[in-house]
Formats: sequence, structure tokens, C-alpha cells
Amino acid sequence: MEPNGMPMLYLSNTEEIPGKTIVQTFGLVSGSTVRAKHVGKDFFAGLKSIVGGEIKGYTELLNESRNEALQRMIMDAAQRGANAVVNIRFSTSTVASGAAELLAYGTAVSVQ
Amino acid sequence: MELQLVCNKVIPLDSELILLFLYILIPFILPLTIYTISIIFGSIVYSKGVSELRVRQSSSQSTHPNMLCNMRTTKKIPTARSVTDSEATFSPVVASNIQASGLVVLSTVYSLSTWSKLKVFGKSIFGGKITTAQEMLQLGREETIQRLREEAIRQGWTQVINVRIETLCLDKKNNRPSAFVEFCVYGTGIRY
Repeated sequence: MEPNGMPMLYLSNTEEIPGKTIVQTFGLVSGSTVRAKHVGKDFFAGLKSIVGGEIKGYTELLNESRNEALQRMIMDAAQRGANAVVNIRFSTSTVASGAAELLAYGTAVSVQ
Repeated sequence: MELQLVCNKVIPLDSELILLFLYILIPFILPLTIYTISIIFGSIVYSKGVSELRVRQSSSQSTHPNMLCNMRTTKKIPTARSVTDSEATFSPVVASNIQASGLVVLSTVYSLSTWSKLKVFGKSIFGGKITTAQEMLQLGREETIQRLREEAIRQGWTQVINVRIETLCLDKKNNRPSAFVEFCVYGTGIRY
């Protein structure tokens, strides 16, 4: 267990956990978050987009929300009794002009 | 008396200035300044980003030359002999030697400058390649890959396998050029 109470699972985007063998599968697990823009950050992002380059506020926002989606997927897998998630994929879609949905999904398995 | 006279002369001039500002400055000068700022500072930001990225790339390539690869399984990784691109050369990995593994995810958001968005819009009518947009996207992608490499080094992985790169438009509406582009790079870090 991690300090913040989250279960510690083996995570991988390959078809197996490297160095382990899959014993049992528990099916598809997924987690998602929808994040809207921050008004202040949005204003500065608009100014920054005149010049171009990296928008640091959005980078932070998306990394945070992707981690949250990942944590939800891990909770889903842990509730099913899995100790690993393999073949993890990420996808992002814009539901509105200011909001983005981040989805993480994978196959919950138990490995030895 | 003199002061009042001056004031009487100035007041009508002032209202004319406001009218001038409203009807000429805002619709013509403001976009011009925005595009000028976009052209000048955009190229500065781009060249600065590229030079910083090259320094970081060379420093991490010298210490960890074979960090990333997009092979799926650890068993089938071949040994490259004389490939000049150091990203493609890596030592063979035996799956039983792997001690630990974990997911590494990173994403960055990049934006095209107003000037290159205008160029994209212009080119969408007549067609052709758009070098400014391509350069900025390439910079963003390389930057994200470099950050993944640094993050993997920081977390202590020997190599990152099965690297996937995704590019997404965050703010696309009505078929106009997207303002924000997200690059998501993820892979499985292994330690052996």
C-alpha cells in the first residue's frame, strides 16, 4: 500500500508484466475524469498562444487529471481482486470546447 | 484665462482621439501588433526551446544511450549493430532478469502561434506543406519524449519498452486550426 491509502498494483502497457506470469484475468477496467479549464489559466493560455510553445498550466492540469483517471482504474482493478493491470491505454477527447475527458483502461489480471 | 483657452482647444481634440482609437487603432493596429509579436517572439521562443532541448537530449543520451524503445515484449528485442541513431541501438534483454516494472506516463500541451495558425488557415485553401506548424509540433513531441526519458531516469528504470505516442487536439471547433495540441507519451519502465 502506498502512503495515501491507494493499493499498489503492477502496471504495464505491455501484454504481460515483464518478468511475471499471468495467473487469472478479471476483465476490462477503466477510469476517467473530465476536467474543465481554469479561468485564470485560460486567460494566460490565451495570451501564451499568441507566441506559441508550451502551455505549462494545461500541462499540469492534464497530468493531474490523467493520474486521477489512472487511480480510478487502479481502484476498479483492486476491487475485483486483481494485483496487476496490463495493456493500459490512454485516450483523451474534448467533450466541450473548454473541457477534456481523460480515459485510462486496461485488463485487470493477477500475476505471480 | 490662458489655461482655460488651452483646455477648450484640447477637449474636442480628445474626443477626436477617442474616435480615432475606436475606429482605426482597434480594428487595424491591434491585429497588426498581435501578428508582429507573434512572428518575432514566436521565433524566439521556438529557437530557445530547440536549443535547450538539444542540450538536454545530448546530456541524457551520453549517460543513458538506450533508454526508450517501442518493442512490445522484452524477449524479442534485437541487437542493433551499426545504427547511427542511438535510440535504435539497445542491448538484448532476457525477461527472467527483470526485477521490477512500472508505468511511466507524461503529457505536455503545446500551442501553435497566432501567425502559424493564420498560415495554416491560408494553406488550407491552396494546400501545401506548413513548415512553421510542423516544426512546432515536432518540438513539442521531442520535448515530451525527452521528459519521459528524464522521468524514467529519475524513477530509476533501466529501459522503457513499448513506448506509445499520442497527439490530440484539445480545442478543435468548427474545423478551424486547433489552438492547443496535447502530446501523451507512455511506456513500461523495466529494471534489470
